[in-house]
Amino acid sequence: MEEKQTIEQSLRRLEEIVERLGEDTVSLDDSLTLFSEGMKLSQQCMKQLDEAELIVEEHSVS
Amino acid sequence: MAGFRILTVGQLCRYVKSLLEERRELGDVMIKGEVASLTYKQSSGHLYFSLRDDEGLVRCVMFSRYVQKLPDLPEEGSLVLVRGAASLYERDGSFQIVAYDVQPLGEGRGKQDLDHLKRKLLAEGLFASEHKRPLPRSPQAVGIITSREGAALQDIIKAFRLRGYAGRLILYPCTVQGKNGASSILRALGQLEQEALCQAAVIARGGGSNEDLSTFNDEALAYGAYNCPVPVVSAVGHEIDVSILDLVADARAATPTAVAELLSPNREALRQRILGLQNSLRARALEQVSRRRNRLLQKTQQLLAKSPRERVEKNRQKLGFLVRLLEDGEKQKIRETRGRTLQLLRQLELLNPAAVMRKGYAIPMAEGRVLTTVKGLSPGQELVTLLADGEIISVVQSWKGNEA
Repeated sequence: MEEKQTIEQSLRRLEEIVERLGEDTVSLDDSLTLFSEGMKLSQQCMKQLDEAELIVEEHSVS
Repeated sequence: MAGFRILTVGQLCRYVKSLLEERRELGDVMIKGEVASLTYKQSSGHLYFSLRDDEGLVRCVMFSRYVQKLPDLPEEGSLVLVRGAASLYERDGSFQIVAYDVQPLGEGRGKQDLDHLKRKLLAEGLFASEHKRPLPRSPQAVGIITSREGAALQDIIKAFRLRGYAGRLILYPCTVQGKNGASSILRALGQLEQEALCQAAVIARGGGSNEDLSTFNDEALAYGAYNCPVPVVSAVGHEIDVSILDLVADARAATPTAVAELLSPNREALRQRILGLQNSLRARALEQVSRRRNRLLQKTQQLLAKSPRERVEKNRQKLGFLVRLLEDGEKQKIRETRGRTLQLLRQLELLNPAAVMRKGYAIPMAEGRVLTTVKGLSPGQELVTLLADGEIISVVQSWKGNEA
């Protein structure tokens, strides 16, 4: 099982955060938490993107 | 290599070709089969197709001067009778029939079966667009189901690499042609599903070589692709025919490049997407803060507007105004009173007896009292008459009243 989130998963969460941050009902505390989570996530995505490489493998079919 | 006669490829091809063309029984043959891979070259007017049945396949070419005589071009999948000569196409070293005539014999059995299967699957909704799943935008792993040796695999890997795909490409090797093709593909698909590593599956076949699509028109494969938990891309690599797998798959890719474009986001596009999200993140967080600051400023202003200082000041002003009003009123009253007094004094002055006397009036008095009547006076009585500047002392001689 994969522990690391895929870039797509991270991006989807990031989109959710941006969406939430746009709402009027979000509290200041929450918006700060969301902001820092979002920034961390986006930096992590960028790092993942820069480090990722194409891996080709073959799995045997039973 | 002593004892061998060395041939060039051209020599060999020419030799085999001459062998074929020398055989009288092959010079004019009638062949029955189903038309496949039909291509009509507009530029040359030549017609290329294959004839097949359950056991074999042969390529056919019909040159333009014969094509012109046909009332209609033969149809893909139809059963025909071809008259022609066996030959060899030297460039490809491939055995072929040079056709003079093609006559329709009705629809081939394969075509009938295929149409029947298509209708059945269509009715069951396997081709319905609402059942097509969206492809993952940036899958972490993509399963490639194809032959280990085929050109398709290398072409697809190359296309993904060119696009900057950063993820896993997992080959699940299988046979993509022949009788066992469909079941081999299904086994590979089953392995992919079981491992659950891939977010999409690509079923691919190398370009061009074999026009036999029967592997991809398999009913079991259609259900397998339809029930696959991740989206399936059909990359069977042909332009003309549409296989059942193409119809069932969530997406169809005509070339390896198209596969890579469908399944791997351009790395640069992904980078732009992250940057874009970062920007909106900053902008929105800032907006959250500034919205509150604005509200705070607004409330402060409202609070200041309602502060007691303001009210005290207002009341002080009002008080001053009232005091002035009062003072003014007081002054006015005093002025009025003074005026009135003066007037009264003037009126009083008019009534002063001294003033009257100065006009010639006199006041008679007797025994210390002002006389208001003649009655009661007696002769010899002393009378004092007051005038403005003194008094007359006289004696009454007589008196008489006014006649009524």
